[in-house]
Amino acid sequence: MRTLPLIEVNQLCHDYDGTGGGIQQISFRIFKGEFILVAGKNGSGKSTLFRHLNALLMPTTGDLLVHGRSIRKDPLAARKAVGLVFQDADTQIVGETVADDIAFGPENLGLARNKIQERVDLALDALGLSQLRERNPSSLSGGEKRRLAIAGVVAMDPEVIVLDEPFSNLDHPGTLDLIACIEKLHRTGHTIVLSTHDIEKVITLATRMIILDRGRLVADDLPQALLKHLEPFGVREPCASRLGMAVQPWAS
Amino acid sequence: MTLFTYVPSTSLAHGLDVRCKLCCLSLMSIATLQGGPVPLSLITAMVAGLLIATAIRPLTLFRELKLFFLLVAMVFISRSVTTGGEPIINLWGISATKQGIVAGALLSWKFVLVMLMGIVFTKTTKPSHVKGAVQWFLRPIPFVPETRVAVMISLFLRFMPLILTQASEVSQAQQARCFHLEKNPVKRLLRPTVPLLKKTFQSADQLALAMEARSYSDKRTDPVFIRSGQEPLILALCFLVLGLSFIV
Amino acid sequence: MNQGYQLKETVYSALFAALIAAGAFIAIPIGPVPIVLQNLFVLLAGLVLGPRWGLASVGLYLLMGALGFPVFAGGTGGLGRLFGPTGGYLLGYLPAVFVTGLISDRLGKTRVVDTGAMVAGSLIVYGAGVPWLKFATNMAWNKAVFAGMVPFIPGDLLKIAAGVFAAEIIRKVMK
Repeated sequence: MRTLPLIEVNQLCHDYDGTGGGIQQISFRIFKGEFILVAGKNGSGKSTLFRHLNALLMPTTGDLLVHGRSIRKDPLAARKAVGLVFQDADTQIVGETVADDIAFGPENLGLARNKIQERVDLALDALGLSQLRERNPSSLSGGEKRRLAIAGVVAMDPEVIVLDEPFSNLDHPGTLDLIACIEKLHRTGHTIVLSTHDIEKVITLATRMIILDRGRLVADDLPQALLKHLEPFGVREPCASRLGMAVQPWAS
Repeated sequence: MTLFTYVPSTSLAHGLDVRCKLCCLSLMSIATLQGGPVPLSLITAMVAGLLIATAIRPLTLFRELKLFFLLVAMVFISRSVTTGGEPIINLWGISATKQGIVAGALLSWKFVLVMLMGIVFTKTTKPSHVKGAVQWFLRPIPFVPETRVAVMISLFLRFMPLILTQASEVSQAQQARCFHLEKNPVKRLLRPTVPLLKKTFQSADQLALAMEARSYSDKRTDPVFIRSGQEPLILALCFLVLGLSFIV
Repeated sequence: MNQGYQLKETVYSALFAALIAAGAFIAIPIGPVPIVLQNLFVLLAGLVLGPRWGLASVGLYLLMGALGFPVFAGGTGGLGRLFGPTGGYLLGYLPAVFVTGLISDRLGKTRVVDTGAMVAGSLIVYGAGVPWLKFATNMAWNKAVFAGMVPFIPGDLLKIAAGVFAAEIIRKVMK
């Protein structure tokens, strides 16, 4: 028996300035506990779509429901349920120390200090940053900054974590650490929506894959089913799949 | 810039409540600018004690404050030669009077003392605590959104080093494109400045979006203050010295 | 979805303050002389952010310096520097940015008005800095002007010219 979807996207259109450049007629549903991989080349509309998920952008036409409530009527509910991590880590970090930055979100929610402390400790632990709590963010590596940005969102206790190109500019060890953290977040009950060029990194973790092309949703299926249909849309098919083998997970 | 950076430790100054420290800093600054040699000596002894506890090396002090000491020297010399009175030194037709030297020395002493107090403060106080104290002090003032000022302080502290890094990146990129061959001076000014400004504003746009995504609100949880219990004693001492500076 | 928090202006203003702070450390060599960019950024704050938010920006910068963070020229900070002999220039930034922003705001954002606004702003900075210098060091007036204003004029003229162009470009980026 199917439960109600967490997020329902209905014929979503966003037209930036009347020139028809944004996203068009996107419809799909997100259920609790899923891991959705959003693939598509640059300009296919991934970031625009993501910004609707937490009500940063409003649809031009169509609608987006979070827990059955439209984001037009109740954007705050969407903001609470969906945490969005942007592509550039530096311009998301606002605190003078790692712990201060993670506390930023809960402080905005007006939580009591001891509760904030709890959330900060949990987020530091979940993202493997506990040793770095008093560090200045400028002194962190790229991978650590990325995890800090995610920690700041995790501390707000969202049900859905949306990650926009989280692997950009990461070296290999940073990537492996990040994959491990994302997997842990998924296992502990968060619903994950993630966009990336290099789908091989997380395809073994994903429960579903969505392909966007020129603002439209062109495929929505199990990841394995879509492996052979990626290239036409500018997404590289994982090497193993090209060779007719099973794709191996990156992190164990 | 290491002189002004917070270093965690367990001295007296480290443990005090930030608000108390800020009060003391203000009180002692006024006392310094106000008072004569007696209170100044007292304050100098206090500051010296605190400085020693922070383990700053005198060499570092001189090295990082070069420009400041130059300005102070300028004040000293200028006062010495322009104050009327009995001349003591005569060099190249310019004479320094006894009154001038005393006045110059006193003023220079005051400037240096206030500077050293500031250094003790920043070395022993966490920047995020400073932010909390500013918010607390601004609260009774109407028309000033204290939480927003506190957030702006955070942004300032977080982004100043980043902007400096970006400035050097832009400068290096420009040098790679041989901008140093550009003859027009206005263009020379613009070449590195405009990209830096653009980057700053683009970062600002992204930042505002990210803060909205984290539900930024003016009504935020209040900061927490840590105290050591010695605050009333220290405050009383400072008021005493302030009073002294007006009398002696 | 601003919710009346004026988030964008707040962030612009804070980042501009950081820019002004960084400006104390950025010097561009023009011929034999390194031109420090700080006062250019201060006047630009007025042109680009307007009088109120420009003032907030400079105010934040001075507040951070007063609290002791090393953001004044030479990498120093604190009240000692702020009330020292060159403190007048720093405190003069406050009325300067406000006036520059006000002129540009009220009279239209054209190149001519911007130039006038920046000239007015620069004069205010000297109007505060030179007397302060004179009283701190006890110099004669003409010495104070020759030490504290005249050498900077050529550089300031260049900065004003650059600033007018920069303001145009940045306003387009800000939309």
